Amino acid sequence: MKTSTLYLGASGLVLSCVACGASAPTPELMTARNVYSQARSSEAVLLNPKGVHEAEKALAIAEAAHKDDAGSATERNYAYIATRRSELAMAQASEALAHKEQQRAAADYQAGLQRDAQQKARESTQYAQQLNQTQQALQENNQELQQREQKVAELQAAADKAQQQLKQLEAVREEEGRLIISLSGVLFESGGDKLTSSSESRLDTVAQALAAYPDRSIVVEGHTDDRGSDATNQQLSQKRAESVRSYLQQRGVPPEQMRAVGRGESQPIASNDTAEGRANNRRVEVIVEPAPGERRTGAIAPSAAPQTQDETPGLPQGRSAQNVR
Amino acid sequence: MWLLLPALACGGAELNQARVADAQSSVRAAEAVGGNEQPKAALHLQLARDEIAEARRLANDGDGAGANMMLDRAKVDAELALQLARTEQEQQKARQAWQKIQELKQEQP
Repeated sequence: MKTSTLYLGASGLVLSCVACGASAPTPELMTARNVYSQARSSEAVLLNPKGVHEAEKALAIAEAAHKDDAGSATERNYAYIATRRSELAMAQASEALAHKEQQRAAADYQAGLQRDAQQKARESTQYAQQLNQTQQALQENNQELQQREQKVAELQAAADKAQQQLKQLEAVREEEGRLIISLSGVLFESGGDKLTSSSESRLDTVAQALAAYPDRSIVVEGHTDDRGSDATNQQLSQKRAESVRSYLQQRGVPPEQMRAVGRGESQPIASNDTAEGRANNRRVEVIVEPAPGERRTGAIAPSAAPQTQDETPGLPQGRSAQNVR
Repeated sequence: MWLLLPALACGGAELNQARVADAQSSVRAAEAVGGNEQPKAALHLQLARDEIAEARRLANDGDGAGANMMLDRAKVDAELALQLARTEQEQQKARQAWQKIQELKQEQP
């Protein structure tokens, strides 16, 4: 408030001197008035009122000297000093402004650094989480892989063992890429298709052995001797093949991998004239088909296309011209 | 009284050495903050030096009042030179600070 009063006072002083018009001011005084006016309208008024006041005091002395003795050395000297004081006041204000700018920039820079650091910290956390998840997934995959490998090894060992047992217990042979497990002897209750308890034990071993061929087709074939009618034998062999297939399915062999076929009495492997021969002909054969790449031409003749469980019942199965040997 | 006469006769006037030292001190302060490197500050520094020399000359010529006025001018020119140099330094720092911010913004995605 006091400073403003002084400014107004100085302005009044300047105006009154101009109004009196006694004599022209010196160039120094004119410059001083001009530069002081610049200082008054600059930021120095707010930022450096003390500096502006110093200029004003010098200008007031110059104006007074002009009034008393126009063109005197005192007028010129204080006008010069007033000019410099005005310039000084503005330069001081500029320094203060620059300092404020610098502080604001420094604060902005720190804030930017902090944002940068926070962003990097967030990214780092995200990367760490991703890495952790990836490592965990990898570990789980490894564990799963190990478990699978172990399971495969166990299955393979069980299959190997079962095959060994199978070879000891049953007649196993290979024909043109096909593995044929021939189960003969008393498998079913007389005249029917119900498995005997001893045959179930044998079929358990067969099921374990089949686990070694998960990608092969399996055909379960039923055979009879020549006692009874062809139709009866055909029907019985079909039922018995299906009975074995069903049991193997219960023991873990996938149903879609197997089909049951009744051959009746059409494919004897021994003479039906003796009791021993007939016993051998009454059998079930579990046939593991070759893998597609291993199948040799003619390994399974198309004419021997068996009747599957899906075929329409009631037809003269196994007795067509193609199936009769 | 008689001893003073020769001095007056040759026209010499006593120069306030304290004020000379004060003006010179301001000149050195302005030089120390790089006043000679900044064109506007360098101009006022030179004015201050010239004014001190002029004050000495005026004193020698017996113009004590003129010499004191020159010292006033030298003092205020030296102060202005010092201030201009400091202002320039501060503005330079502010420019550098904003430059750093620009660089930081460019580095950040």
